[in-house]
Amino acid sequence: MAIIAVASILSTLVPVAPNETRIFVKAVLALPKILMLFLCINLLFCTTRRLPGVLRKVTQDISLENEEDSFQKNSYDTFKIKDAVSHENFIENYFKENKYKFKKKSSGESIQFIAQKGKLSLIAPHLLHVGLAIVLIGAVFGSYFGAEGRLSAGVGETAKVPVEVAENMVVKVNDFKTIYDEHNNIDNWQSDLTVSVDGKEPVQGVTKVNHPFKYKGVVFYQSAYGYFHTVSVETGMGEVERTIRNRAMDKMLSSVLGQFFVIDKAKDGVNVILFETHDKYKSIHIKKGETVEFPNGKLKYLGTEPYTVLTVKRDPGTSIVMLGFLIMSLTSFLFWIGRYREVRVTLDRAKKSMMLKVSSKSKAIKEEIIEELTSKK
Amino acid sequence: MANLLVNLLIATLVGYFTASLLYIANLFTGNRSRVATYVTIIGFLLNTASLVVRSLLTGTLPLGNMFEFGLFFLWGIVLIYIIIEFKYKMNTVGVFVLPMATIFIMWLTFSQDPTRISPMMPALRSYWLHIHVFTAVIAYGAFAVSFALALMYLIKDQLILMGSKSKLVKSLPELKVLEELTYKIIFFAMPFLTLVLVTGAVWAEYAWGKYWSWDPKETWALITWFIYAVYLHIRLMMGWKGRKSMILAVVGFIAVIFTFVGVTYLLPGLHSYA
Repeated sequence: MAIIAVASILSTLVPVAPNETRIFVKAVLALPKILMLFLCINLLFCTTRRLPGVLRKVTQDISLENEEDSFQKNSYDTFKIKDAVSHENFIENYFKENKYKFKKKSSGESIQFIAQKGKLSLIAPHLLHVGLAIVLIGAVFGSYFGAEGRLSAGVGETAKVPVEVAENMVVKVNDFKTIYDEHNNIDNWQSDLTVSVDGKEPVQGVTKVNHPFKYKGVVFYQSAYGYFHTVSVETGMGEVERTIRNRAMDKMLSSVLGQFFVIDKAKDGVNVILFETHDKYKSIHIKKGETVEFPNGKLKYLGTEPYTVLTVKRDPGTSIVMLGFLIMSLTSFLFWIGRYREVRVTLDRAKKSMMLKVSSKSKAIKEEIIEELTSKK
Repeated sequence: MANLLVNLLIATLVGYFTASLLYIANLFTGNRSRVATYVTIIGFLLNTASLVVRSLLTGTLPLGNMFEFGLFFLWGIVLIYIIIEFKYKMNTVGVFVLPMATIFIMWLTFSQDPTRISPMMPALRSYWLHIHVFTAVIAYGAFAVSFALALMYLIKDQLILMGSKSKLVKSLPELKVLEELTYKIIFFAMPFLTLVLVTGAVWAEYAWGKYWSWDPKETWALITWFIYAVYLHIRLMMGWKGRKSMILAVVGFIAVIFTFVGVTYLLPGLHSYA
């Protein structure tokens, strides 16, 4: 785990170029993932070896049967007591107050107790290992059998879902809108879709950020959006009508008939920034049908249509990963139950003695229990 | 309202700073007075009021950017400290926690702009944000207190090694107590750190279509998880106690701080807003 932590640190510090091709950088980026895979294999081996024994212990009810066979008396600590009867009550109360599960058996001169607490904590680390392993198995499964792609389409247009995600699946964008909250801030972006396979069973759905739409194992995420701006440009070279595609918040420089400009959606129209050579010449807000003039000609704004960008994904590993996450979350709190401890006590009325054996991996817990059970004078 | 927020932040700063001085004075004079604790509680209430005012300003829970999370994180640190002080009757920890809180709120008040309100981006408008950030506040708040305890341990241990018989050595709690309490706090916080990772991943799946993107913030949160997992493993399975495990507790909190501040400034990615 320490090595994975160091490898992960390195992977975040190495500068990565877009479409990185350097072998060294790729190796550094891949290292934490490979190590995680090794950790997963290691955890699975460790857990499969130990889990059956732990499960047996957890599911087995406590019993005082065959007590003599299962314990070596010399592993007990022996203490002198004054009165076995009052000590019997003291021990019973101690177990009750400290919420132990216990059993008692009297035979002849001896009284035997067996008490346990924190049984579920025995299984917690193994379940956590299983959860982590399931997450990694799901991730590997998803990376082999899943696929992801993107599509974009304007309102009223159709687009094919990439074939590696789903075959013959087509999406028609019925509507795209920006939703505003009560303070007029952007609350979400929403695409209304009709999805069909081979043109059959068309299904309507809505996707927006944080609320993906699912259809036949394919998930549609609202990923981005933009606008098609239609303009007419007239210069000494002639007159043309062009549709300019701009992703929202991406102020792309466009060039038509040698005229450079940036066109950006604004309230009730567009903002146009005109350039002469490399210098900004003019910035103006115009509405549909309006014209802006520049030294060698003019630009007329004809209208804007939105388009939506969707990420489409098919990942059979996701539900496996989510199951792993659920197990990890639940079991991480199982640790709070406290460490497992088992206490065995034998009181001998005739010898006025108490034999005590405390089993726990924590030395501090052992010492504490022994101190408390021997505190009665 | 924005001015009220600034005034409340400054009042919180004064509260935490005064409490720091009182805790330090208590340590060196051996005074058992509870004034420092009461001043801390007043500071904490002012901190809470700052969060309430910020919520009124933004119209939602203040969890949308670094300043807001920082203010909530600070609240978590002091809350956990107050609980620890009352539960374990150990007010010397305040000598380390309150100065840390003071520096933190100074940074928030003067280097961030508390009056700047920006609308929450759509990806953050999810109930997962509340669960994700709330679990982070509990985990990171507890780790901050464990860091203070580990530092106290290391300082006392070093002074003992140097043969110092200063008042500081006597005033600081027993090494065994510091060690045990550090462990208990990390043990308590670890499930919440697991939830931070899990809720973040589930939310990312809904928002971005990827439960894990190896984004620097995600990777550093995972690194922090591994560091504390190593701490618990070596303590529980290998019985490592004392100096080595305390150094790991300090390293763990350095990773927490780097995840929160360092990643945002040095390694921006999908979490560039926080």
